[in-house]
Amino acid sequence: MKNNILYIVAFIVLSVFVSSCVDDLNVTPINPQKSQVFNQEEVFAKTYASFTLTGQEGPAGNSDIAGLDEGRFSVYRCLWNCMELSTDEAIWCWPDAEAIELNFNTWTTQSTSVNGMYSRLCFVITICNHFLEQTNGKTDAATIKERAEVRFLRALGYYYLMDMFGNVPFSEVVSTDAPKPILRAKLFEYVEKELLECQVDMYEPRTAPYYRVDKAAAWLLLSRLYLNAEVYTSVAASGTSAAVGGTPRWDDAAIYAKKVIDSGYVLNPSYRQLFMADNAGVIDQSTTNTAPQEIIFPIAADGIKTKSYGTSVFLIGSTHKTGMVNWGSKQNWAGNKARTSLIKKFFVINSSGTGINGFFSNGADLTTSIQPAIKDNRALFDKKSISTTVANSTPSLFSDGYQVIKFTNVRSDNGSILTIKTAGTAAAGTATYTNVTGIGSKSGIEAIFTISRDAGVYTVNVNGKGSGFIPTETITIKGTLLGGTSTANDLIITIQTVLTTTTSDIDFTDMDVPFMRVAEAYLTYAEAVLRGGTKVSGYEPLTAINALRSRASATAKATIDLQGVLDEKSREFYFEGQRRTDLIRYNQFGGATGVTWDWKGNVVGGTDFPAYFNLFPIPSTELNANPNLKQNPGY
Amino acid sequence: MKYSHFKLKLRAVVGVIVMFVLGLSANAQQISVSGVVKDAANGEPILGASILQKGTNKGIITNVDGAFTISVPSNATLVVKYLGYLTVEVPVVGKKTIVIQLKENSVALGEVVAIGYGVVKKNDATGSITAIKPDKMNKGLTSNAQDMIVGKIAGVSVITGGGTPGGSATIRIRGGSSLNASNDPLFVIDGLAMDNDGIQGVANPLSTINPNDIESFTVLKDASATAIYGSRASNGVIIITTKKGDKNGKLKISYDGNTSISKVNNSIKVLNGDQFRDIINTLYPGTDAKLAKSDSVTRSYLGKENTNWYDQIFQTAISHDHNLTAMGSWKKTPYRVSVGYTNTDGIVKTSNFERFIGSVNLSPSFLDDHLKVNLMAKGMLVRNRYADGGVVGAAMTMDPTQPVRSTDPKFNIYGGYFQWRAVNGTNFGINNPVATLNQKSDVSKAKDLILNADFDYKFHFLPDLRAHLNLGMETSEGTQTLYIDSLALSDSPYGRQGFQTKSKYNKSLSAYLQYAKEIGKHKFDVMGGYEWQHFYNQGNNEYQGLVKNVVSKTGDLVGYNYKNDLWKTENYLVSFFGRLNYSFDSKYLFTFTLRDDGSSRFRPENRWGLFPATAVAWKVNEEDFMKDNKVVSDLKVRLGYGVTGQQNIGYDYAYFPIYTTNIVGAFQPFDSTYYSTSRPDAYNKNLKWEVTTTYNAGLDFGFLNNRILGSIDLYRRTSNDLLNEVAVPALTNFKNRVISNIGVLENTGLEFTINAKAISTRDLTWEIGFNTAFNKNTVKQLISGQGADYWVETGGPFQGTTQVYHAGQPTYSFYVYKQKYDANGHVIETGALKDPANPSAGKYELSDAFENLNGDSVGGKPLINEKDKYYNHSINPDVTLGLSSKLIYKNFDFGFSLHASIGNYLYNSVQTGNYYVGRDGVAAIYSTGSICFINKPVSSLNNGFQGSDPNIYLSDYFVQNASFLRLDNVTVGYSFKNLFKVISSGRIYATVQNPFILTNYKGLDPEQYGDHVGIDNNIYPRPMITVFGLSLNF
Repeated sequence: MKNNILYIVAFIVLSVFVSSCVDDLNVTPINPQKSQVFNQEEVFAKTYASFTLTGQEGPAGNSDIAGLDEGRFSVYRCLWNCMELSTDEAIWCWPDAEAIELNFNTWTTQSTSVNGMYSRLCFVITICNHFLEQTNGKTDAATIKERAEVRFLRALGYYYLMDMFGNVPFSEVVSTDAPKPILRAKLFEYVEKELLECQVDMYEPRTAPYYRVDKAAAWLLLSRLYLNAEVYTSVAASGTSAAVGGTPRWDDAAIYAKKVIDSGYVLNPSYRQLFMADNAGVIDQSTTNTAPQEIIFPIAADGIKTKSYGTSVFLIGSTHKTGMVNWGSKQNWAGNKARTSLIKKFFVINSSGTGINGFFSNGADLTTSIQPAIKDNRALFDKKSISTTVANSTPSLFSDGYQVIKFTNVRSDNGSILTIKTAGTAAAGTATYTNVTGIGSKSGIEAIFTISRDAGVYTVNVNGKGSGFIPTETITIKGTLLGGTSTANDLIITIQTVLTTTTSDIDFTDMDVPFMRVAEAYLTYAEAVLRGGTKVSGYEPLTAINALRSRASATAKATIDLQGVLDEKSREFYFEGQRRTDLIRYNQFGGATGVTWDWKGNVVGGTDFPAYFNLFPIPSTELNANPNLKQNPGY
Repeated sequence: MKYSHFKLKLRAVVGVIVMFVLGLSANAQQISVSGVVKDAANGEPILGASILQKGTNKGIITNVDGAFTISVPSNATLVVKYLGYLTVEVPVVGKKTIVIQLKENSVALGEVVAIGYGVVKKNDATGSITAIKPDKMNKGLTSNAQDMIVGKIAGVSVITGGGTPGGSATIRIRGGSSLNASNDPLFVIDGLAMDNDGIQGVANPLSTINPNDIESFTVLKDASATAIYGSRASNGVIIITTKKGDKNGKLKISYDGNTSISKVNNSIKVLNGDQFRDIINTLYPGTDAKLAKSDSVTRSYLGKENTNWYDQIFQTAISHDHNLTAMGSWKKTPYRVSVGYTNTDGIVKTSNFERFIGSVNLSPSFLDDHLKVNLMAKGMLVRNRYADGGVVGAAMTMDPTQPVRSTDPKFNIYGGYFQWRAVNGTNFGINNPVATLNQKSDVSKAKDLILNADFDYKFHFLPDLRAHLNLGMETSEGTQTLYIDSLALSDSPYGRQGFQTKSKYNKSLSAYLQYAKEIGKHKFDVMGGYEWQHFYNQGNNEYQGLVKNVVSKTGDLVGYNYKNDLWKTENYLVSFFGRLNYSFDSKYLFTFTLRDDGSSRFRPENRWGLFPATAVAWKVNEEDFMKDNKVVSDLKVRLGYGVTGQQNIGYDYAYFPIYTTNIVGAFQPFDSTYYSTSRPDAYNKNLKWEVTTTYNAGLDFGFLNNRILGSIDLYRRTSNDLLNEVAVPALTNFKNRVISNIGVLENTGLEFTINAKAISTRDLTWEIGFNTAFNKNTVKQLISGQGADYWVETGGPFQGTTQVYHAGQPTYSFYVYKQKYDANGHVIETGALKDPANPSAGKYELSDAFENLNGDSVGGKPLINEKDKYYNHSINPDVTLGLSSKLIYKNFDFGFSLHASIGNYLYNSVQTGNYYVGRDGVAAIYSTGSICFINKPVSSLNNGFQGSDPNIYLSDYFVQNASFLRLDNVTVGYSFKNLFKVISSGRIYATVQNPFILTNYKGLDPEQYGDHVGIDNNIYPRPMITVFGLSLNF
C-alpha cells in the first residue's frame, strides 16, 4: 500500500514534468481571428479598406487607431470636416469638440479633429508601406497591378498630409525608428514621382474591377497636385501665406486634367444619381443608375457588409433630420447644414435681405419649384420641411438655416428600405390616409404597420389587405377603432419594416462616396488654362465649365473668369471635401482679407483669421512622440 | 517567556487588586486547592493568570510566584487563562495541589504564517508580512472576501465598488508599481496562483471564495517575501488559506447568516419639478426669434409633475446570506464541507446578485503521517442581473416635471412610458430610466470550479527532506444574455438580443523539495522547485435584433444585424525557484530566494527573467542584553532586497507580427465580390519584463508582554522598463499607440502599524488597531531620448488630454490649464459671451480664461497652447490611515473601523459633462414643437456656464481635492452559549456599513474606483448598508 501510493505520486510528478516543458513557451496564436501569415489578397483589400472602414469590424470595433472615437475619426469624415467645416460651405450643429473648432476656425495643437486626421492618414501610409514591403520583388502580373494601386493609395495619403500639415514625417518602410520630417516641397516631388511611376502599371481607365483605381485616378490626382503646385512648393510652405515663391505648374495641370476628360469616364447625365444608394450600379444589376461612368474612385459602403460611421452614413445621417423628405435611413443626426454663403452660390438674396429669391414661394416643393427657379439641379437643398428661419443665426440649431439633401440612401428608382413614421390627426372612428409620404413605390415591397391610438387597438386596412401588404402606387391606410375612447389625437402609424428591400439596411447606407469623379477634371482644366496654362488640343475653359452646367440643366455661361471657376466648383462639389484646398489656392482662406462668410472666425458676420491657419498644426501628441518633428509656425 | 522585574511589579499590583476584588466572594465551604501556573516552555512561573471555577464567576489571579489558592467543590473544573497562552481546563478531582502548564499562544508571534511555497513562524519571518484572520466580531457585510481587509493593513488600499451587487474591488499594495500593466496583486489560494482575469459575473479571484471559508489572509508586501513568485509579484501577493477539518475532531456544525438593508444616502443633487419649472420660465421668458415662436410654446412643454427620478429607480434593497459548515473527522480523515447562498438586491431596481457556493476539503494523512494530502474543491454558481448603467445618469438629467407613465395614447408605442418624442412621433432625447429598467434584461450566469490537490511527503529514510506537489486547476464559464424589448426607445423598432460568453481555465503544477536541518545553533532550510502554468481564455459575442417574420406570417422572430465574434487566447508560464533560510542561534536570520520565470508573452531573447531576493533579520530581544528588559517583549530588525517582475500586460501575442482578420460588417468590395481584409496588429518585438527592485527596512516590536504590537517599514520600490501603451511616432507601427517599455517609476514610503490590547480584564477587553502609510510616487524617467517636456497621455474627460505621466511627477498627474477667475471669484469661461445681454461685446478667448504660464505671444496676443498646461496634483494620496476598535464587555461586543485618505485629487468629470446650463443646455430644441428638457446638477447651475467651447474641459477648476475620512462600519454584537440545548454557542450582531464620509470633494464620492483612474465619471452612489447577522455553533 505504502509503495503503491509512492509510485502513483511519482508517476504523476514525472508524467506532468515530461509533458509540460519549456517548449510550451513558444506559442502560436490560437485565435481564429488571428494569423501570422501575410495574406496578400486580404492585406491588399485592407489598403483600400483603410479608406472605406475604420477597423476590423463594422460599423465599429477593433479600430485601426486608438484613443479616438472610431466612427467620428475615420479618414473620410476627418477629411470632410477639415475641408468643409473650416470653410464657407458647411457648419456642424452639435458641440463635438472636433467640429466646433473647425466650424469657428479655432483649432489648436490639441484638437481631436487634427489628431484624428493625422493618425488616420498615417495609418493609410503605414498599411501601404507594409504591403509594398511584403510584396517587394514579386513580378507576377496581378501583384504588379496591386503594387501600382497601393503606391497610388500611399501617394494619396501623403498628398493629403502635404496639403493639410505641410512638413510631415516621411517613411517608405515600417520601422520603429522615428521618421525624419520631409519638407513640403520635397514631398510634392515625391508624390509627383510616385504617381507618374505607378500609373504605368495601373489598369487602363474603366477596365479595373469597380472600387479599384485605374490610370485615370492617378491622372486626376496629378492634375490636382499640379493645380496646387504653387502652394505646395512655396517657400512659405511653412504655412504663413498661400503661395509666395512657389512654382506653378499650370501646363501640367491642364495636360493631366485633359487626359482624365478624355479617359473614357464621362459626366453622368444625372447629377443626383451620383449621390444615391445605388450609385455603385455594378452591385445591383437591376439599377438604372449610371453613376459609375463618372466615379473614378468610390469609397464603398454597404448596409450589411461594409459598414462604417465615417463614410456615406455620415454624409446622409448628418445632413438629415426627422421630418425631411425620405432619405432611406433611420439615421437622423441633424449635424451638418449649409452656411448662408453656400446658398448664395446658387441664389441671390432679395432686396429686403430676409430671404432668397425664388426660395420662398409658399409650399414650394424641392423638385418642382426650387430647381427650376434657379435653373440648376445641383441645388439640392431642403427648405420646406423643417427650416424655421433662413439666417443661420444660431449655428447649433439645425433648423435655423438650410439643409443639404444631396446625399441619400434612396435608390434612383426611388426604392428604399422603409422606416417612415408618419402621423396625422384623426377623428374618432376611421382614419384614412392617402399617399403616405415617402413610401417606396417600387412594387414587391411588403410592410408591417403598427398603429396605436388612445389605448385602443386598431386594425389596419391597407388597400383591402391586412398588416402585410404590397403597396403599388398609392397607398391607403385605414385605421379602424375597435375599443377605447377617442379624442382627436395623434394617430401614429409606424411602418416597422419592409422585406424584399431594395436597399440593404434601415440604418447603414449603400451609397458610395464618389471620392474622385471626372467632373473635377473639367474645373481643374478651366482654372489651369485661365491661370496661364496651355490649352490642350484647343479645348476651351468655357467649354469645360459649360459641360458641367449643361449636365445640371443650368444656363450656359457666356464668359468665365477665375472666380467664376471657383464658384462653379462650389456648386459642383459642395459638401464633397474639397473646399479648403480651393480657398487656399485662391488666397481666400487664412490671412485673406475681404473674403468672409457667416461664422468665419467665430463671429456671426465673419472675421478674418491668420495665415498660419493655412496649415493645420502637427498634433501635440505626435510632436511629443517624435522629437524629430517641428511644429508649423504660429501654433 | 522571559521575565523582568517590571513585569513582576506590574503583575503584582494587578494581582493584588484582583485578589482583593475576587477574594471577597470566595468564602463557600469547599476544598482549598493550591497550585502554581508555569510557562510550559521554560518552567517559569506566570503571574496574573486567571483561575476560574468553570460555570461560575468565581476566580482568582496568580501571585508573583505564579501561585494561587482557591476554594472550590472537589469535582469542579478550573479554567486557567493568561493572555498570549492557550487556555486550559483542569479538573480538580479532589487534588489539593496542582501544577498547571500554559503553552504560549501568541497570535502574533508564535503563529505560523503562509509564505510562498511554505510556511514560516511569524517571528522568524524576514520580510514584510502581514497576516490577518477574519475577525468574527467586526466583520461588517462580507459577501466578498475583499471587504474583510478594508482599512486593516498599512499600505494596502481596498476600494470596493459602488452599490452594484457582486461588484469587485480595486486592491493596491503600496500604491501599485506599474502604469499600464496590471497593478493587481497576485492571489494565491491554498497554493494555487490564480488568474486575475474575471469572467461574466465573477469579478476577480476573491469572488470565488466564500468569506466564511477563509482561515487567514497573508499579505506579502516587500520583494524579499514576494520574489519567490517572480514575474507576477511586483504588486504584492495575497495568500489565502482556507479552513480545514480537525483531526480527531467531532462533527461540528455551524451556521452563519445575515440579512442586510441597503439604502442610498446620497446622490448628485438635481432640481425638483418646481425648481426646474422656475429655471425654464427664467431662461425662456419671451420670444424665441429663431423658432419664430413665443418662448411660451417652449414653456408649454413643461409637465405638471414633481417626479423624483432617483426615487423611481433606486430601492431599499434587502439581501440575505446563509452559510452552513460541517467539519470533523471521518475515519481519521479530517473534512470540512461548507455551503453558502447569497441573494443581494442592488440599490438600482431590478439589479440582483445570487450566488451558490460550496467547498469540500479533505486532509487525510498516510504512511504514519509521512504523506499528508489536502484535497480541495470549490464550486460556485452565480446569477447576476445588471441594471442598465445609464439609468442613474438618465435619472439625473430626466425632466422632473414629467410623469413616469402617461395615459396619453401617443406613448403606447413605448409601452405607456413617458418618452420625449417629436411632433411627428419620432424618438429622441433622454430615455425614461424606468422604461429602460423594465424593458431591458441583462443577466449573467457563471459557474466556477477550483480543484486543488496538495501532497506533502516526508521521506521515510530522511525525515528532514520533504517533497511537495501541488496540482491545481480553475475552470469557469460565464454567459451574459441581453434582451431589449422592441418597445424600448433605445432599440426601436427591433429590440435587441444576444449573448456574450467567456470561458477560461488555468492549470497549474508546482513541485518542490525541501530539506530542513538543525545542527547546534545553525538552522538550515533549503527548498527548490518547479512550476508550470497554462492560462486559456476564449469568448464569443453574439448580438442580433429582432424582427417579426412577416413572410411566414407566423410571428416568428428572425435575427437582424447578427454579429458573432469568437476569440481565443492563451499563455504559459514556466518557472524554477529556490529558497535558503538560515538562522544562527535563533537570533540572526537570513533568507535568499531566486526564481527564474519564462513567459510565452515575450520573445525568446527576452523571455526569461531572473528574480533574486535576500533578507536578513536580527531578533534583538533574543540578545542577552535585552532578555531582562521589562518593557520590550519583542524586537526584530529586518532588512530586505528583492527583484520582482510584471508580465501581465493584457496581451498574449504582443511581441510578434500577427494579422487580425475582419469580422462582420467590415468587408471590402471589388466589383460585386466582398473580400476579407487582414490587418497587421501593432507589435513590439522588444517587449520585455517590467522589473521592480525593492529595498525594505522594517522593525517589528512588542511591548508589555506583547499587549502592544507593531511594526514600521520603510521602503523604496523602483520599477524599470515600465510597460505602458504609449503614442508612438506616426509611420512606425500599425497603430498610433503601442505597448512599450517606457520608463522608471519609484515608490517610496513609510508604513506604521500598531495593535494594542488597551484593556484586558475578565469582563472587559478593548483592542485597538491603527495603521498609516505614507507613499510618494514619482515617475523618474520616460523613454530615454525624449525631451524633458515629454509626457504620456493617460486619460481625460470625453474630450482631450487632462492626465499624463511625466518625469518628476506622480503617476496620473493632472495636466491642465490654470484657470482665471473674475473679480467675484467666478470661473471665466473660455468661449462664453462676455456679456450675455450684449453679444457684440464678444467672447472670452483662451487667454482671457487661462494663465499664459510660459508668457509667449503671437501677434501681440498671449499664445495659449499645450505649453501653458501644468502638472496639478494626482489621484495618489499623501497619507492613508486606518483605525479599528473592538470593545468586548461580558457578552457584548462593539466595534468600528474607519479609514482616511489625504492629498488625493480627482478630475470631476461629472461636473464637466453637465456644465452647460444655458438655454440650449436645459432644453434641446430640435425644431418647432420637438423639445427635450434636460435637468442639471445643482452644482452646475451654480457655475452658470454658457457652454460650447471644449477647451474648458482642460481647466484645473475641475481638479478637486478628494481627501476623505470614511467610517466603514460599526458593529454591535451579543454572544451566547448553550441555547436550547442544541446550540453550544452563538452570536447575534448588527452592523452599519458606510454610515458616513467626511470630505470637501464636490463630486459624488471621493473614493474612486473603476477604469478611469482619477477621472471621476461616477454617478452611482455607494449605499449605506445595515446588516443583522446570526452565527450558531451546534
